[in-house]
Amino acid sequence: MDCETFERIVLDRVFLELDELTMGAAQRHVAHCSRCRSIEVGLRATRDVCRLPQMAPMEGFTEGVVAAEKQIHSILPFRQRANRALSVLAAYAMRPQPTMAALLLLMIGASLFLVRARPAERDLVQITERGVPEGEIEQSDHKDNNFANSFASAIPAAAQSSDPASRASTTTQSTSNAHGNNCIVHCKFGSNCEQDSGALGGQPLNADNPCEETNPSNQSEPQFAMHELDAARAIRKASGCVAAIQPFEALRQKYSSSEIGQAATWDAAECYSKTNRKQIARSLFETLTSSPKYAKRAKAQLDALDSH
Amino acid sequence: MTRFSEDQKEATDEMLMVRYQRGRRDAFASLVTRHATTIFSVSFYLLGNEAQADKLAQDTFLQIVREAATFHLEAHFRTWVFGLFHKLSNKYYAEIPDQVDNTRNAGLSNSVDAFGTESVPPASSRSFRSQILARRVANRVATLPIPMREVFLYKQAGLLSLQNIATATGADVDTVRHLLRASFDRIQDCVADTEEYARALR
Repeated sequence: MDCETFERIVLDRVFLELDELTMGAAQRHVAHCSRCRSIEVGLRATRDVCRLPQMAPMEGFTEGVVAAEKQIHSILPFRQRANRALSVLAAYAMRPQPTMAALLLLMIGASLFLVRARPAERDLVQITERGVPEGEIEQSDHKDNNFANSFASAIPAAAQSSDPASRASTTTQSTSNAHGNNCIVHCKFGSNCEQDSGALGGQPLNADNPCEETNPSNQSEPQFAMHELDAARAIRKASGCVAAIQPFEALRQKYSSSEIGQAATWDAAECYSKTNRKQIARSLFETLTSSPKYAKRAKAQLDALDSH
Repeated sequence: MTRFSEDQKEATDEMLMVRYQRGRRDAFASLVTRHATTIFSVSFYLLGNEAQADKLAQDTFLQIVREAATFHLEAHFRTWVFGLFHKLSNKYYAEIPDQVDNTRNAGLSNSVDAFGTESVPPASSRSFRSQILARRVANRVATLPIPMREVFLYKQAGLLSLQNIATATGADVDTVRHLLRASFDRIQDCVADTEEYARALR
């Protein structure tokens, strides 16, 4: 480094603003250049001596400036005011907390619209023995009307019979409870049917049953007959053969020529056989020997009766 | 609240300025408190009048408010403020050039008198001698041409680096070096005979 270069950077050196490399070069220069060294020493001394004392501003200076600043902001043009508001909002938006809160609210709102109740949380559905939901009974009321009428007709008839029959009548109520839908149907149409059965003097209802007349069913006859047969079998199962003979007999007479009639005949014959009315049972089994479906079984039953 | 105040104290000037840009007025108050003395000192030694200096310092801070949107985090706050100060002081010279020249010496004399001439201490007192020296330096500074005076004050009172002075005044660094060197040479002449200077030489 020469003297000219040193004089150019001497103030940087005095105020310690030189990089290390240049500082080292300047140091090496002043080590052997007394002129430059005296210049540097003189400038350092002037720097130290010429430190001017700091002057404190007048009292209330800061408050005055802050008040003036507030006044300036109160008359800010709309654009600057909007920019400032945007800046403040952006500062808040950059924070994670508001973002997370907004996300949480969005999730809650979306769940209210999108998440459905699980199937297990739905109201319990009671179904009938045949698997029809109880709630749909209103729609199928009319369909089951005839079935209910026939079921109801069997109960007073059983009540009119001997002691076991009256016992069967009481147990029919519990059967009805067990069968749910049937019970409801029975109760719904019960008054009508009981009135009708009373009018018939406790006789089993036949095709002229007023309940059937009021039934607006458009159901096909085989299906309806099957319902009646099911009802009779339900009575047999719940109350025994004594109570079930009457509905089976009614069915046998009503559908004598059909498959339902044959089934009813078979069931009636079995009931007679179990109640030791073997003569009637034999005659019924004999009528079934002409049926290809029941012939074999009927003959077997006849053989069994003969052996006893 | 205490934690907030401590946070303000620890924050750099640039951080406070960014906070102010985002609407935190307390950050601006912190900046004013932090820099009021420096700005006022420079404007006082520059203009030589306390009232004018107060006005210039206030104008500088209000200019910070107006120009807040132009400040960038990468910038050096002190340099940016002295840039605003430089523009305002130039307007001051243009508006009241005579007033600056006329009131300069009287104002400085009054201010230095305020250091303690009313209760005159013994001549051997070091503090008294430094007051006399400060008055001498202030009077010498007041006689410097305005660009030279400005650079000298930015360096000695504003504590800016040469590079930052160049940025604030819009001059190149070599010009700043030249002006500062010239001002140092002139002031050196009037303090060379003092005991403090002799001690500093050792």
